[in-house]
Amino acid sequence: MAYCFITIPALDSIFPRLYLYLLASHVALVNGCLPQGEALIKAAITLLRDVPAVEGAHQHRYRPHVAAMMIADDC
Amino acid sequence: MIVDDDISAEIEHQVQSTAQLLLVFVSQLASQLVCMPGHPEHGPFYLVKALLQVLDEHEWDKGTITKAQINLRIVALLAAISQQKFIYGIPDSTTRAGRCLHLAIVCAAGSLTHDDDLCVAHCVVCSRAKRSPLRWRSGLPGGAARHGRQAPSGMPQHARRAAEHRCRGTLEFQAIRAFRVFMPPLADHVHHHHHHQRLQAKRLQAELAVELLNHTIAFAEVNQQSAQLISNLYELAKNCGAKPSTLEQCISFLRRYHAENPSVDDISRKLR
Repeated sequence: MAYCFITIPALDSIFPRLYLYLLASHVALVNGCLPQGEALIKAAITLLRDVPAVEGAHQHRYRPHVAAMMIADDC
Repeated sequence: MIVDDDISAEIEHQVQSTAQLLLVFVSQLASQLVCMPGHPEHGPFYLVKALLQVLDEHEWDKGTITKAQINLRIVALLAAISQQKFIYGIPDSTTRAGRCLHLAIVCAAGSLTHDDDLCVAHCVVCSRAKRSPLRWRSGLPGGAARHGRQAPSGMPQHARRAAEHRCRGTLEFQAIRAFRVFMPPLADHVHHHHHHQRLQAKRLQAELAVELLNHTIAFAEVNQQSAQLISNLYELAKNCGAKPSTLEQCISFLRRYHAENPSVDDISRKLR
């Protein structure tokens, strides 16, 4: 988690960064790392401030993943 | 794979609005926030609040309805949170996460009696009248039932009822406040589009009206006010060129799930 938290900001494109924060927070929550999951979500929300109004079309190739399937349904 | 360099270069020089991408991301983020525990000091919705604040500060293009759509996603998130039981969540076992989630629910129950207007924003669409009291759909009593469930067992019945009543009153008041917060952006967008590119504006109006109609049918209790809103939205969407089959599906859903509700008959009568 710490590795992800530190290395994700090194990416250039903003949307891959956002989705990676989300994926990392999924993993953190599923493994019971609540503070890390929260920190990652906070980082994603903070990063939303930097989303530009327009972006190059080539930067949009990152597609949503199926990480939501990792969340257990036994709540 | 053979790739035409010219085409690639052309694609790479294109720019496009990030509004739609933002909508997709925020939708996913909202689904994650459903099972995120709250904070003991900052409240159960501090992340949702932070998200809304960031979205408010974002510079939105005048010609898009993305902000309104995102607001509707947040409404859906809050409606999901108000349920007694979530359809998914963090594994609730002896893990720390499970315990923290429980703690967050307790915190949520406590803070609902104070001044948190986010928890009830999901019923913003259930009434157009600002002064009339809003009603909860049965089975979705939101904070009131949650508060009751988490109340100490030693609390007398009448005290618990009074607490629930106070909580519900607060929720209704906050819902009305949230209604004012959420509705102007929708109205602004629709109004703005009316004066510019007419066809595009009509399409966006129809899209937004259908989405708002869906949210109203899904989350709001069907009463006199919401019935009026539903029929107005139906007419708006129809006039703006929404697909008749889509609209018919919305209304047939309403008829199927609220068959005994007299307000649904009113809607049917109005839409004839």
